Amino acid sequence: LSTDKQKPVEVEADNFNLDDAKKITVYSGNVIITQGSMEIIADKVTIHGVRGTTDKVIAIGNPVKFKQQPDGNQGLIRGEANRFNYLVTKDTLVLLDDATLWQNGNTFASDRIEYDSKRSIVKAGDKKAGSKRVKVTLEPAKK
Amino acid sequence: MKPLKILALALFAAGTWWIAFTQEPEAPVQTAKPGHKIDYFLKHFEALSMTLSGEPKQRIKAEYMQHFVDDDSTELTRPIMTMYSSDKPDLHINSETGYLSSDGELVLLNGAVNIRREALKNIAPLEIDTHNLRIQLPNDFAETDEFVKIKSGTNAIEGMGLRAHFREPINIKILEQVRGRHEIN
Repeated sequence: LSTDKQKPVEVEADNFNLDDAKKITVYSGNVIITQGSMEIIADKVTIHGVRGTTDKVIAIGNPVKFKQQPDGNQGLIRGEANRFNYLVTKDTLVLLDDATLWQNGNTFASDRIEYDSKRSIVKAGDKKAGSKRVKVTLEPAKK
Repeated sequence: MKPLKILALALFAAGTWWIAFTQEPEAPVQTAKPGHKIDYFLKHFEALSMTLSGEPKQRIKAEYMQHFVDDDSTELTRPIMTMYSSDKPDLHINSETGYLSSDGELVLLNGAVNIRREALKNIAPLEIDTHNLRIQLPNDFAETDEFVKIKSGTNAIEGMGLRAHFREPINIKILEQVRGRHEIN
């Protein structure tokens, strides 16, 4: 939901480590992150803070699993990848390495998928390395 | 005839009492341990230890302190420890009671323990609440197996079991059942 971004990031995990100098907190072991309707399940999550607030969340898993309820009456958006970069202040979720995202019956598969978690917009393919292979499967609209 | 009956009963009662008395188990003899004796005590005790370069390193204050002659240990009431570092805000640790080992290397902070550090420049404030903290002073290391709650800036993390290096670089671990809450803005 677009309101997700105002919600705090809640985390459950087996253990936790705070590196005070680098301002990095690491959660590891059965990590579940929730922020409003968004949920990420991973093996390890690193949260980078800037001036005391959450700036970037990096999730690593085999794979990392993601789901979010977009505004309106669209279906759940789900995603999987070996690595997620969640740029919190930019409302952007970058799925990397064997990434797949399902939205309204459509499937996007690529090595890099950018997803605007505020407006539920998907951008697949790797802008840096030119034409990263992207596989899109669009479901025909139901009559 | 009646007095004879009474006499017999009395003899019988005396006999059973005697048997019970002789069979009574030996009362365990308390081997007398050398007295855990106080040789001196101080009120409003305060001790400051310095670094080799003459900078304050850590301070221990307590409302009441008593020293024991047999094991050279010290017990403190409402101790407050302050850890100084040149470029970071001071770390204040207080608890209900405390114990200082004879070599001065082990500190046991018993009961509720609060660790607090103010904010400084871009260093977030830090506050930790837990119980029964064991501190190894030479290694600047603290640990407990109890419930712990950490507040750092707008973030709050809690769980079971703490392992912390509280001098540069500060590193804090929570061992189990972790719940975290990170504010966004």
